[in-house]
Amino acid sequence: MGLYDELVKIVGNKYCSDKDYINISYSRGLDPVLPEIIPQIVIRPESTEQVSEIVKIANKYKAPILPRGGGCGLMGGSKPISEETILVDMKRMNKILDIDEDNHCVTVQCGINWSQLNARLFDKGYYTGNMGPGSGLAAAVGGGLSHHSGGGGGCAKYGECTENCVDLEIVLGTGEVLTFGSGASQYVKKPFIRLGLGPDLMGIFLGDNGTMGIKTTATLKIYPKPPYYRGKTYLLEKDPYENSCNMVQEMMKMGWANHLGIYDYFFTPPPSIMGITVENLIETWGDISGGVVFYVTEAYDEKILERNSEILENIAKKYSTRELGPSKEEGNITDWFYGEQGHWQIYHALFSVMGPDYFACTTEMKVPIVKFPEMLHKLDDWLIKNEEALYEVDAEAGVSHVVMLDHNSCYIGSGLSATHDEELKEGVIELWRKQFEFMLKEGMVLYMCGQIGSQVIIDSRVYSEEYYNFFKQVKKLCDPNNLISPGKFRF
Amino acid sequence: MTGKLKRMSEYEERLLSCVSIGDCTNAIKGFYSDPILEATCPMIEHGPGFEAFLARGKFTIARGLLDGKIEPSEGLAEVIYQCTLCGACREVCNNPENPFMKINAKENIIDHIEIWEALRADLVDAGVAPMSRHKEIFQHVKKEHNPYFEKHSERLNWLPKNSKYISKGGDALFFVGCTSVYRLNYVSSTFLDIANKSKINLTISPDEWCCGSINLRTGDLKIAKQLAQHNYELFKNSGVDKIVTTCAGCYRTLKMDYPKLIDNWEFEVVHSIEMIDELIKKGKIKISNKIDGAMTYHDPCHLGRHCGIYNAPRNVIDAIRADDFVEMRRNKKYAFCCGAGGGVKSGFPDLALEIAIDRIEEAEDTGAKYLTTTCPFCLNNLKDAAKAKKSSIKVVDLLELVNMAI
Repeated sequence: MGLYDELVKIVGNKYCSDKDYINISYSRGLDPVLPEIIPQIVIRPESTEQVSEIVKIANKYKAPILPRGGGCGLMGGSKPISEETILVDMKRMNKILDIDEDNHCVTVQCGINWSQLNARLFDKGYYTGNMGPGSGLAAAVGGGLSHHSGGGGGCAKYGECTENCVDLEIVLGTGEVLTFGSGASQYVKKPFIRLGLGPDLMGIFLGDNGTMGIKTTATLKIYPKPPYYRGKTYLLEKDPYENSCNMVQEMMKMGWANHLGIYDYFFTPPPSIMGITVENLIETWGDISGGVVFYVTEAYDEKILERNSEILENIAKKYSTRELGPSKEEGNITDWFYGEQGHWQIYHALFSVMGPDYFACTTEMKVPIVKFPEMLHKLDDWLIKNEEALYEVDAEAGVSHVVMLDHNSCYIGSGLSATHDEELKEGVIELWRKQFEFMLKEGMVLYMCGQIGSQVIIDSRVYSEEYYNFFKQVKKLCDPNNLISPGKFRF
Repeated sequence: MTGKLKRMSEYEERLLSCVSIGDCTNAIKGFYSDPILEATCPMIEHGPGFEAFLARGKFTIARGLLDGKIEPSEGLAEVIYQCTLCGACREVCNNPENPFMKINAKENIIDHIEIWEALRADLVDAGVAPMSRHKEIFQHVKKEHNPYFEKHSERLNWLPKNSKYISKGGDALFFVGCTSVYRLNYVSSTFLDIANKSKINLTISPDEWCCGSINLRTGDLKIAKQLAQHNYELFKNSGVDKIVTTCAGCYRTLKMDYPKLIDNWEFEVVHSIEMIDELIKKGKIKISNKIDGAMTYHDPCHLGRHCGIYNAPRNVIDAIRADDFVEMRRNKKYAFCCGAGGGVKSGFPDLALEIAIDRIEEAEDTGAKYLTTTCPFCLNNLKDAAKAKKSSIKVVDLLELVNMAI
């Protein structure tokens, strides 16, 4: 009995494939430029026990494993790196195991996507606060936790999704199953908090890009969804980077999410792809110079919403040229963004950029809010310096958006858009890596790593040797045979 | 390999427009306040669920064929044919539901269904498709002009004795369609009855051939063109400029496909429910017995998503009902397929039944007494499912209720 037959024994014929015409459908992620490799086997488990068995068999044959959720990775995170890969399609593990309203937590299998989960929670008046990544309509909870996802809504108020994880079940590289968080106690009947049983070992598996183990179930905090919200959009014609930063800083001094209910805050420099995402905004956003900010504030009480909105508006007016709105037609994006799932769609145009001719190579980096204007100027300079190289590979570069996180940080969405020319792809990847390296060496840290980002961290010697050695030892402890997602972080 | 994949080569730019966001693989749609909980591609929950069975995976497969990474094979064809061509993937693609989305993949892909059909036609040309049952059907359609292994000479046997119809002219030509001719002939006789009561003169021809839907959906364009040409000649000689049909599959084929297959196509095509909606609005059909019992409605994919007809059946239901009309959770653009289309009923009957049982359960959740629809092909599959599930819900063609109400 060989590898395939042993895997079939775990899930049955129906859910295991060694056929290239089936497995090729797992060779893609959101980027079409990194190599598209067909995994040798794709398997679809339905339980933690099955995942554990799969990992044990993989160990027997020393076959690499790649866990994959929604397959929405922008940087090759869900793409196989070698043809020997057993790709574990986690989407069959999509059950909501428990919605505990009294305990304010939801426990799910990690293959469920953010939109399905939240749709169920909305029915009960709850949400996950942070709504996962911008691709959350399809992206899975497991993938979000592997990337510290934040941009899919609510990260100004609730931070990155990993901050809301209180319990996590992991299948290690040995096949052993461990639970982290309060669930690590044999006496805790229902997980409720992440910290309290010694050091935060769960953290090893959050933002790990799927390298330390396979996430099988997670317990996330849930929050009552406020019934009231208001959003505003402003044009900043003069010094948009600095003025938007100052606007945020002043809002933060007045209480930001905790006191003013800020849910999301975006800055986008036109001509922004975000502007052309929304049909009615083309006219109002299309010809303006400068930048646009929009924010959404939530409240449980209408009077509080009024009061907070007034405070925010007074601040916004100080730093902006004028308000765009109040209607969508007049340029206010926020009703669409908040009320109509726009937070999960606003990036769609970025992924497809200009249509079939172009694709996106995204870099997303975190910086302190106080530093983002400086970084945006440096990215503008980088573009000028690399103009010729970009021209040679028929690519363009730019910043698309800045999204505020819950404390002192934000992330900058930037990257390249390039054409589908096979001969130019190598050059595009090289420039993509170059931009990653540039940003890392300017002191930014990665929002998402995937395949390419995690490799640039190592190649550019961002870590000290001692740190990387420690990291490798931790990896070895979790996955002694280096079978899970090999290649990322140059493991 | 590209040379053998003529159509896919032509569509290369459209294939590249799928950027793999994956909304087709399980996204919710609708709005925060009213989310549609389940994405509607039947293959997400039925079958093995590999991405290869879903739209995103099929785009990657098509690109892989063009790039020579994989070769056409019977195994591949078996995957590609396990799709009802319901078009749910087109509706959820990059969320065109939202009128404020300006740039989306759907805009560039144009029509997913067209691509899946073209891929099937390429696989037929490559000699690895269709499924064996489809090949048998093709042979029979060629000989007897229907896919039900019946004789063409018996095409008018469905007509009740003393029924009133004409052989030329009148208000419209009634294109009966093979399912209503050979299987659920009470649908056609009911419509004829309604037409007679409403003083609508219908032409019916014994020379009608299958519309060619099954051939078009399963990649046999050659026979489909022959059937279309024959029917076109028939229409030209019928002395009418309007064609009416009770079948959503025939409707889609006559309305959407014939204009592409026939030069100078000049006929107006209406579905019987559109005609009835108009007649009720104009007062030519009087409702005298409103129907007791809550109703729900299954949107046939060929009528709804393919042709955009959502209101006419609901208007008619509103006109004839005495009790509630209750929508199923997935309705209109996001309606769940009955499971029969795209050659699935004939090629993969167990899969078709499994999907239909899912739809029956959704209909049962509404608490309705009647599950109505406007397609005999959907009706047939949903009836099979209700029977298999021992459901008490009454699966009826909406025409039956209209006839009871007038």
